Amino acid sequence: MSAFIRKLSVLAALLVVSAGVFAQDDAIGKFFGKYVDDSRFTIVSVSPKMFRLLSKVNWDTIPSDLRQTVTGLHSLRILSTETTPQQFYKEALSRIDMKEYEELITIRDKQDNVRFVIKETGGIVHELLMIAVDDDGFTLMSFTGDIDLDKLSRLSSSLNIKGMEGLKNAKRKK
Amino acid sequence: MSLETFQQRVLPMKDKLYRLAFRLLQNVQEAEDAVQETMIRIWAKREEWGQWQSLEAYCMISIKNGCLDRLRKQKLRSVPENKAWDISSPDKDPQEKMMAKEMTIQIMKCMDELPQQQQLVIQLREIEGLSYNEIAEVLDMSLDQVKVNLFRARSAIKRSIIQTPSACDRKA
Amino acid sequence: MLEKYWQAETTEEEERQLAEYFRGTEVPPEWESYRELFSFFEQEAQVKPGPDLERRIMESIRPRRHTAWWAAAAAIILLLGVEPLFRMAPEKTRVEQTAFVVKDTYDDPQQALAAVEKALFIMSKKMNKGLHPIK
Repeated sequence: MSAFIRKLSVLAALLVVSAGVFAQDDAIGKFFGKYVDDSRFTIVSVSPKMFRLLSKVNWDTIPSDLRQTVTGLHSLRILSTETTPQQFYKEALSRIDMKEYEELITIRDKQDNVRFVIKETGGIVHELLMIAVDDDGFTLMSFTGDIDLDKLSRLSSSLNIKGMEGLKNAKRKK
Repeated sequence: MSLETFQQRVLPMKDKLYRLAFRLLQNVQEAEDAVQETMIRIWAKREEWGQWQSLEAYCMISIKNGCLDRLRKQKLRSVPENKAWDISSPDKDPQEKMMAKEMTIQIMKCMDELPQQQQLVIQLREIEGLSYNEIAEVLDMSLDQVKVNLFRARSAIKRSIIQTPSACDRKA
Repeated sequence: MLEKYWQAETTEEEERQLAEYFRGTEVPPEWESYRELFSFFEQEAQVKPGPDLERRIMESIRPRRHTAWWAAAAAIILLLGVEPLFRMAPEKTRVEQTAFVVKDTYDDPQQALAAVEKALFIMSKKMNKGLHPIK
């Protein structure tokens, strides 16, 4: 392993540590820890280490918007369930210190309640958190890293939408 | 063992298990989580139910161990203790908040200051009504040890309620 | 019998009788504090956990009724040709993996990437619902 890679790794580690977002006892981590073995929940966790591996893949087939967005990311955590979503939505809001976040978008539509909040320093968004209760149930999604909100919001139109719609229908069939 | 058996025999134990967990953890949320975890564990081991002499004892032992593990992990993180007799504490059981009687607080205080083994013996004997044999099994003690602990605990409580004001004298 | 109680010599039946006695009204004043004690134990025996605990327990016992649509999504994304090719051998970094409470869901970077893409898409879509509701 070259000295260069080693230096990069150390730098990455320093960035990660200074961003302070992966401390083991952060509220989201605790929330995850509570339900990680709960069969009602779907958990997805992509660690900083995995993201470093991702950034080395062959990007030929991937639109540049997507590539740029992904390479800026440090971590992804998703927690979702279709069981008693309202209850978990409330619990998530009570366990996570919302004061630490800046409100971005809140969407309320009948039973639906979707909140986007961010953590921003020096003009850079380094955490994007979504807490939602809607047709898909309860979903908590946290991205950390160097996040470009504009790019991200445009992704849904630039990605292959047909394929995605098919996914939604596949899920509903159950 | 079926889901129905679980619902009829194991699930009703949740109150008892909760009380034991709360005695050890002194926190409503944690105690509930502990009960949930224990029940899930028991369900996962449902093939073995036939082998256990006493389902009840097994459940109590399981939650006791689960709580002790949690306490050990908590110690490492040095979480500040939450005393059940601190009425302003949000973790205190809401029922208990209503009993602001001084004597009751005194008794509670005394119990909380007893050594853990004595606390557990009192909990299982006075509150849950277990026999000496059952207590011995759950707490992994000999019958004599159960008796000694009960004696010491009751003596300490007696001293604390007779003398006012009093500190709970733990020396037997 | 009270003396036996303090000596921890009482049987369960005797203790039950004591509790019964102290529940009554004819208790000599010097034993008033003992009545408090027995009443305390009775109250403690009434303590119950929250009402939803039972439901939570049953819900975690019953088997999963749906497979993770994330896994299906990731698989479909791969099929759609957004499949990345992993060319380099995985690096063994010396960097201490910053503590993650939950371990990586995917061992394969391809799958991880697919999940990330899917998540980004979902997030983006939900965001747009708010930005352009008429869409």
